Amino acid sequence: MGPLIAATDIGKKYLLMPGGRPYRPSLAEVMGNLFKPEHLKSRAKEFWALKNVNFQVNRGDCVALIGRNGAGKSTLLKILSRIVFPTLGQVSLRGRVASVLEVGTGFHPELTGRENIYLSGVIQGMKIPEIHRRLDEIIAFGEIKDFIDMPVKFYSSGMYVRLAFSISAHLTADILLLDEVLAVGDFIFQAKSFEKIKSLAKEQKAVVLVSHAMDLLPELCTRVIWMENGQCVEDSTDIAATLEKYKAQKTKIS
Amino acid sequence: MEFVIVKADQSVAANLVEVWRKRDVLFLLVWRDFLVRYKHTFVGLLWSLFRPLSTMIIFTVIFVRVLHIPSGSAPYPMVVLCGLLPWLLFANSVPIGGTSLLDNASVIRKSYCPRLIYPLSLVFINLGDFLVSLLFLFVMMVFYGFHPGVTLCFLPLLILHVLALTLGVMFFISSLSVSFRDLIYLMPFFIQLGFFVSPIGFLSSLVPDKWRLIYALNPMAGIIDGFRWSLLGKAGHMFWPGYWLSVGLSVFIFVSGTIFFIKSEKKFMDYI
Repeated sequence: MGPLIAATDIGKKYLLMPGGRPYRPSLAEVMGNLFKPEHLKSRAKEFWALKNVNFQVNRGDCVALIGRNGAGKSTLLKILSRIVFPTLGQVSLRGRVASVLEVGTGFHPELTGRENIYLSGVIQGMKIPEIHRRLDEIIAFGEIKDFIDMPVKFYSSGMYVRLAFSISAHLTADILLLDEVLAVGDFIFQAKSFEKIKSLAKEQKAVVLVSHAMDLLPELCTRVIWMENGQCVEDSTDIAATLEKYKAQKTKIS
Repeated sequence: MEFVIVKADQSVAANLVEVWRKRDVLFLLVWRDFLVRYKHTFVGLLWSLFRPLSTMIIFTVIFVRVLHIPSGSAPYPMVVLCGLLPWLLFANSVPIGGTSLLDNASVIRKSYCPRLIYPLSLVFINLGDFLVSLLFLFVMMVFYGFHPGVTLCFLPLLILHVLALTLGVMFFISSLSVSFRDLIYLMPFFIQLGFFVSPIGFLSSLVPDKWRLIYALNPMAGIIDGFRWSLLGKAGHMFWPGYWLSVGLSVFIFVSGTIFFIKSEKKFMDYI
């Protein structure tokens, strides 16, 4: 059997207006373009967020994407989660994908904690019977047993993120994608949630995550991909060495 | 095991398969809409009778008592209600469908399901309203002692007909309004225009024969005729060429709307 994720020659192009405003063909623009001479027409500039990205993720891999802001990590994760389409190339995904780009996606303030577990769980890629089965576990992990039938608009922000994290931490899928969601809440809950992510990563068949928490990565991941300007610069299983090199950049710049 | 290939030119069929795979999300979104809408109301689902009933009463007073419009052999309030049922299903769905992508933008940006599900999910809450009103129409039939004929068997097909038209228009408006927001403000105007142009308060047999085919270019006219034919029998004055024209238009709008939505999906995801 092949790799769970196989990305070949992915490129992602965005059109940007001067000043970074995303290009959107508004009615005014479309109408205006009808009467404009050719050289004045489109002022939109091309911006390649990703270029020639190739990699494979096999069963049992836990891959960390590192790189500076704007290196293309989140765009890559969005393509893997199928939120945006690649401009070039293709990704093949073998198995069910669950992605957490933000904790608490899909929460509705009027609904109770219990109702939101179903809503958010399904939106993040779970099936309804699975949520049924794991409902008690999710409630217990989030430590919100007494407030589970209260609308989440009355939750404190701590309760809110604990519930949201707990849902994400109980996702079951073949491929798990995480963006900056390693630890939330107070320090005790943070330790607990990191442990949970660690065991989750072991259960899953493949994990890809983005994180800036450098000191947590060696404990969690089996491989690291370093990205810069939309390209993979380094792909290695020697995590400590790659992280050292990555950190050394900082001293170079300053 | 699921296997998908993500690339720029995804086929329409592959997208529809995805909609079926993600039906759990559709179900949950519909459930959310019902919960949020009726949670803090006292009479709950009965609210859905408020608009058809009040419109029916106003129409009966104005058209029958004041203007003396003929309603054929069926009681006038039933004629109005037969027109209002499909019209309200259409007119209530299109505006909320039009803003469905923008309203859910925060979820759409952060999680995946085929985006077709968002406008699709919104038709169900109006279908619920429709069914409650339909139940009320049957109660009225008993009250008037009116017996529907065998044509009642065709009602489910007519409901599919109005759903096809409604969804087709919703798919067009929702995908276009991501970049052309002007559409959102134009929508109420067109809906209101449609209300006066469609044969809701009167039978379309009032339109002179030579104009009827042109009148039938409004697909709602054929649908309303069809509902009256199915529910009121002969009293409905069916005009078949106009009805088939409406079927053709509705199927065309539904199919082209679906394809248009899926084709524009990969573009609007970049700037929603």
